[in-house]
Amino acid sequence: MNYNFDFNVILRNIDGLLGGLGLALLLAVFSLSIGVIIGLFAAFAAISRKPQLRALMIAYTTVVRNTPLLILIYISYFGLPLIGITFDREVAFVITLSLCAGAYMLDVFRAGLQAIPPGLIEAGQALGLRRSQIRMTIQLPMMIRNVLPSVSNYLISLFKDTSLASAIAIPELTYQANKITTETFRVFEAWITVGLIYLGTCYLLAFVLRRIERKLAIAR
Amino acid sequence: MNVIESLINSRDDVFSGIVSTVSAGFGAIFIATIVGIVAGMVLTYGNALVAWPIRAYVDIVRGIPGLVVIFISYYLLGFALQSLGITLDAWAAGLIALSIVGIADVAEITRGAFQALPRGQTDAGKAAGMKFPTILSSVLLPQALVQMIPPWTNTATELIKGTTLLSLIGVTELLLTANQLIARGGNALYFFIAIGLMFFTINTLIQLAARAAERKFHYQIA
Repeated sequence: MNYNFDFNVILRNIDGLLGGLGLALLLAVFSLSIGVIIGLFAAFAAISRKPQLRALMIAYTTVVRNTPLLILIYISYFGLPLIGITFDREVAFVITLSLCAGAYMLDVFRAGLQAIPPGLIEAGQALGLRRSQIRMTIQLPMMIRNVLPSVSNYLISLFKDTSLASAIAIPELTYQANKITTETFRVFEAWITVGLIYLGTCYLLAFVLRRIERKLAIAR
Repeated sequence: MNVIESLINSRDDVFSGIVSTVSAGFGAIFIATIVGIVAGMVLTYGNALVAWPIRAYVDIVRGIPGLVVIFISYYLLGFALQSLGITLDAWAAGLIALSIVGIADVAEITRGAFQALPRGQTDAGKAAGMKFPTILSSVLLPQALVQMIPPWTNTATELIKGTTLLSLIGVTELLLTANQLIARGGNALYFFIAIGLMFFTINTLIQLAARAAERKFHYQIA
């Protein structure tokens, strides 16, 4: 195999690549934030006493889990405009990824809520706290600490999912690699570099998130 | 409904799309399961010299998006093989990429399942006079496999969903077929929902089968 590596092409495109990385991180953080909010409401709905609400939440996670993300992205970006709902590509992407994140967070939060010993909630009731007070002062703070590792792992997984944004021409990292590929045919340089950027960012994220988790952990 | 009509009118294209999706998806699941279980066993019990490269492989693959692995397989492996006179078509490049991702996942799942087995199982095998290969194949493996079913189902579902990414390297699987029908004037919303339902069905069937297998093989580890 004779292929002359020329990493100058990477240096010439470094602005685009770093911008792409920044955009990817931004898309992941936005989607996670909205997903956490959706997941919070959905998790309390999933453990509520109303069976219709619980069934609705099961339907939500099942549909999102079993349908490919790329199809969901196409539905919101190409499909919805046909019934008069139009978003910018970035907005369509973040909405879709947030809904996926919400479904995942729903399961994580529900497990976190169910891991709280029932005695604590009974203790709250014995003290005469209202349901909303029990929710805000007992269930929520305990659950958040239970689920922190899962949430931070999921941020890394969302960051990897942002590569799908290239399919609707959002100029994130994978899009930049494709751009270098078609403009210069420097396939090796482009994909090795982008692969390494993803890899390095994932491990850096994991490292930072572990430190934050340790800070927030309950001292037992 | 014009979608159903149009799907029936272009049934040959749709059928070959389904074949392409299903063969790439289940092919990758098959390869990932077999190779992944072996790799996971080496990770858990193998000697460091063999386990270390596998550890590196798993950690690298899990830090790169599946879509990027697909592009790397398509462009880089394709280019490398071309200089050897072998042409790698997009479907094969996609199958290889999905298998690479799946193997890493299954290897981790396998390692987790073996490490979760109580130590007493190995000790009991030794006490019964078994050699390690026998303990591995007739005591540990059957228990580990049952424990692996739920996370394995997740990986299988991810791989089936991942086949849609192959449309981006030009494999005419279900999603690209839908795109082509839409380009010929089909309603994008209805088509994507129809294709989404097909994936939903495939994945639901996998989950039902896995749940049945779990019920059948589940036993209590006392």
